[in-house]
Amino acid sequence: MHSAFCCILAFKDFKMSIVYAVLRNELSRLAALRRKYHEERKLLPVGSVCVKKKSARVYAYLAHRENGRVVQRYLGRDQDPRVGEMRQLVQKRRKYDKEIKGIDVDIRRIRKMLNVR
Amino acid sequence: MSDDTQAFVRLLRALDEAGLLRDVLIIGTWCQVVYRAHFDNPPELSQLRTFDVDFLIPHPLRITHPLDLRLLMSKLGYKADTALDGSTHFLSKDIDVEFLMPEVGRGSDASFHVDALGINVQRLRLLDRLQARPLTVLFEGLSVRVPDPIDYAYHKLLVSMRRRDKDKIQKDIMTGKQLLLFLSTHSFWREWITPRFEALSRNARADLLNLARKSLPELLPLISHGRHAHEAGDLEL
Repeated sequence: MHSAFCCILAFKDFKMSIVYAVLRNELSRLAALRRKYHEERKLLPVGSVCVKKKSARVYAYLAHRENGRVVQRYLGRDQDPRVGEMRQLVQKRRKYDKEIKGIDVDIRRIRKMLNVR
Repeated sequence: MSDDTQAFVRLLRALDEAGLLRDVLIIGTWCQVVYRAHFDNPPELSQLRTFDVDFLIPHPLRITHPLDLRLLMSKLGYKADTALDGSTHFLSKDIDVEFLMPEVGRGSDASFHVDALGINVQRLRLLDRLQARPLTVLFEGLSVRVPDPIDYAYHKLLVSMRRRDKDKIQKDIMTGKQLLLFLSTHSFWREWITPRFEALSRNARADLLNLARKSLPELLPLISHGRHAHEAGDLEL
């Protein structure tokens, strides 16, 4: 009985070292994934697509901040396919932002578990 | 290579030499390890795994090389243990091994005795989907069989709906989502995501769509795109 108990304890020690190894690998995977998303995000347009109505026609602009000021770049008429593409790219960037936030939460959790900064 | 992965590869080598590896499929978190290796370790697929290595013995039972599995496992340093339902588990300091079979028909609480291996195995629902289209891939120089990754992802999402443990639900959903989103970036696999979805039973499709609508909206365009989007969208419980 005693030897079986010692055996279980020994198993647990071995398994804890595996847990740490797996978590360390997961941490480096998350860091690599964050880098990848960050690089892909950098290629996407900043800001958001806004529309303005002028004499019964709707025009789209890409609005973003530059040095604290809101800058609007003309994109075309609202129905223009380029405007749709721009909307998709802006959405994609937001998706990356959300993913990166989630990854940061996971990284913080794993660092805490591993007791590293 | 970490200790658990080394133990896993040692086990696969032994099963291969005994002629059993070609008859079983690797399932559970360790098949994700095989997927990762097969897809060249992409950062999108998690490295997290449990200590439990699960092998699926397909139904109907067909073991080409009968063997005394207890003896083989004890030679590898595993201790045989019996669970409450009578199924045999093999425990070691690095990994624990279990053999499973799909439960078909009325089902039973008791384990099933596999004569050809000399062990009792647990039978579980929904596992039959994993054996439908096995994929043979090279892992550490060995030919191993794993479920089709799309079938596996759908299986994880469907199993998550039957669970009670919140952590396990989260884990299953994360695995299914991660795998499907990753496969959607590969032209070959992307083509199969919708057909595999359509091949599921009507109830399974409705369950998956409800889950996607509730918590995984990013999967909706993947599983129900194209000409079948309307039909699939009509399914709701």
